[in-house]
Amino acid sequence: MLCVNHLTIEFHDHSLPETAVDDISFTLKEGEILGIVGESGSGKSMTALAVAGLLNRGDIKKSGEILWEGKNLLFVDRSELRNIQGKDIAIVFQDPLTGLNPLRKIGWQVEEALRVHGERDKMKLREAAIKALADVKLPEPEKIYQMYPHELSGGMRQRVMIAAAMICKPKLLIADEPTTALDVTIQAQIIELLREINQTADTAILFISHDLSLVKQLAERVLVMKDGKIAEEGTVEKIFQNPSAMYTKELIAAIPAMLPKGVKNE
Amino acid sequence: MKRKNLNTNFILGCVLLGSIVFFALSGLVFMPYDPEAMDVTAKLAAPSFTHPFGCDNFGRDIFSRTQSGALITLCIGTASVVIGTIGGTILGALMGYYGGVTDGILMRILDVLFAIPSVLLALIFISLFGNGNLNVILALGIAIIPSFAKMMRQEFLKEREMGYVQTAKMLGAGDLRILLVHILPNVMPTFLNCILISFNNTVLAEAGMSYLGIGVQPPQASLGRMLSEAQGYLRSAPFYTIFPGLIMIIMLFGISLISEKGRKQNALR
Amino acid sequence: MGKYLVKKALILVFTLLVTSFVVFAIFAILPGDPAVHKLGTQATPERLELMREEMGLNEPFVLRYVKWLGSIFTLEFGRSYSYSCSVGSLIVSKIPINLTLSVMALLIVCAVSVPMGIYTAKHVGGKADKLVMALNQFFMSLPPFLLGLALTYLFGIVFRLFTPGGYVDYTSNLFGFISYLFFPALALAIPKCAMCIRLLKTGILEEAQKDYARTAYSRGNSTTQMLYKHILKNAVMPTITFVGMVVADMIASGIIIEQVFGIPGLGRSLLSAISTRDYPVVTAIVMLIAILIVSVGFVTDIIHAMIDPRIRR
Repeated sequence: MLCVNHLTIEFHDHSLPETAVDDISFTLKEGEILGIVGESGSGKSMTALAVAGLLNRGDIKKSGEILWEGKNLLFVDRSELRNIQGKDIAIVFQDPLTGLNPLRKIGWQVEEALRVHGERDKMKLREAAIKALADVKLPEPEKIYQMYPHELSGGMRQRVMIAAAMICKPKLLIADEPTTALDVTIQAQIIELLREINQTADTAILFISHDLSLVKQLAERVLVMKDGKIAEEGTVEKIFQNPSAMYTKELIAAIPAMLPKGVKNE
Repeated sequence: MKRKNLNTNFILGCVLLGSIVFFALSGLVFMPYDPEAMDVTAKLAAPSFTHPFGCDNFGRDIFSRTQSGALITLCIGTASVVIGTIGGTILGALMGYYGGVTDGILMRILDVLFAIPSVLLALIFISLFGNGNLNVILALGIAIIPSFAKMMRQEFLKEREMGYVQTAKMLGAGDLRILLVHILPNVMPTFLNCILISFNNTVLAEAGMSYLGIGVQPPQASLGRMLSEAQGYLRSAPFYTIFPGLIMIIMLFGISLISEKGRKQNALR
Repeated sequence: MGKYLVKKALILVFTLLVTSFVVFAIFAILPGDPAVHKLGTQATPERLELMREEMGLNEPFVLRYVKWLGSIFTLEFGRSYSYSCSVGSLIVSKIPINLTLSVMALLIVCAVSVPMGIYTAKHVGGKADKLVMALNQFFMSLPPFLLGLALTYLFGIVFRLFTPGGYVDYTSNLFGFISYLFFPALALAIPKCAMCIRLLKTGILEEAQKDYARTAYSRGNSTTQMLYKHILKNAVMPTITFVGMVVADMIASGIIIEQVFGIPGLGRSLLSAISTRDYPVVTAIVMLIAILIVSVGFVTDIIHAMIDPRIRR
């Protein structure tokens, strides 16, 4: 379904060009959950943004290909990209506090992707939005529909973001560090929610995180990135039981042993 | 890129203002005519080699008058900024540092005064105490105080909560010492911005006031007064308006370029 | 929203009371005796005493303040020293002039700066943007009266589009009145346009960098949809604050612009009252302007709250 070949991303906003992503390739099958792990600056978020079609600044040089159903998303027209964005590929960002427009009601924002892709019927929009809000386990979706972002907690806002991303039933959901800004207990709930979405809606998930233990809970396959390159790739079991790259070993060693419930993972 | 742009603006501003300061100061050393001397034979004489900017309706040399007018404007601006800065900083520092009920009440009053444009404040002052250069300086200086105090208060309020102030307090430093030695250096950037913005506003206000005839009194020359007199001869002697106007434009443009940086940061206060 | 409105209205009333008190006090504690001023220094003490009684100067300060406060509501504003009539009859007829001038200038500011701000933000770095920004910097620094002179020269004398000094009163010819006020309004508006364009442009560019804009973009919105449905609403907030301040500034600049174009408005009354030391008139005009400025602040707050749900609580 998604096939990334030799993707390279260079920044040209300083005097020296900077390579954020260096010749990486991977594939993602329908309904699969792929985790990308790496420290900040490893290029994992850049990869996510590239797949979501959000890297079109003039000072970024891109090469290689991101094949989505035969189209190279890297070089396709924005008008064509817009037909895919939000409809087939949706993205959830790290910080739910700033990711929602503070001046618009939740309902309006959840409906947006549907509206942008042609749905005009207000009743249908509302129905779909309330269903989407209910699907992400938000209590009293009718009430939340009428609320503003600042009236919700961080965890609730992230659920709203997921509801908004899922409203068009996309084939691929990109989750770019969706739990980093949240408390540990809420983290687990969001992970659980993503797993459910994957199972019920059959949506493939590209899960990006710096936290290997989270990736272990959710993903089937893992991509370990370092300095813009793929350090290691494989199934979760393989990576954990038999890591080959030195870097992966370090990452695994950094995961604290089982902690009693409620203790914060520092 | 942005930064470079800002610097060129700043340098351009300095060059423009500098040339006006030079022009004004040069009048102290060299002034072709007495700016108040009338010459009936040269009434509204067009610019020539003897009178580079021409002559006004009383036959006074516009070049010399522009020189002394620019100097007066700059002097009044500087003097009132000094008054406004001292008053505004003290008031702002006390309000911000001590807070409390007095601060609350003063803040209400300042809010109102702040909303009233400085030209109007200065006008009220002049109406109470009469004309004259000293009163103009006082009026404009006092007119600056509300906005200055408001900006400084915010800074002092912020700094008061900082760790270093608390530490100094615990070490037993007196309030005055904390205010002057500890906080003041930390609020320097805002302080300088306030001064630049105030200078800009004061020169603008002085120009407006002397145009209204409330600033510098005749026969002393001032740019605003010259312009208001020149307006009657706009048709027959446009040069009378153009030269003082041009000098004023260059001066104000220069000052605004310099105070730009400060305004950007404080535009919304 | 209702609660917020009530709270703001109460603050408005309180601020107006404080303002009126400050304004009244400033002119009341003035050195010098208005009775002496009116009758001259040669007047006999008996006549002065009579005059003071007549002018109500012998009453206690608080009573005078309350009386004066009451006279605001009847648009009387006390009695003028120079003319033996109520101040209101002198100034009320001038209010429409200044109101029209300010409103026209404000309309020009909005009509010019909103499209220009959006355009320059959309084409940031382009030729038009650079030109507009350079011009802005220049026009921002000009005092309105200089612009007024330039406009008078250019459009009044060179192009003869209006007669300098040929003011037409609104009671005799409304159309002539409005068309005469166009150039004064333009002189008031130009420096403020420059500021507004810049503020709106930077606002739009800043908001476009925020996370929610990226979210909206990722949903397949076009740039235009993003701008109008998401960014603009957020970006206008500082501009609205600024426009509120502009109104206050326009009233002050209006005093000067009136002189440039020979308009007999409140500014001219104020200036002549200052020169004759007719304090009731000065007090009244200052109070009027203060009321206007404080009310505009109130309206700005309400508009903010209408746009931003976070402020409403």
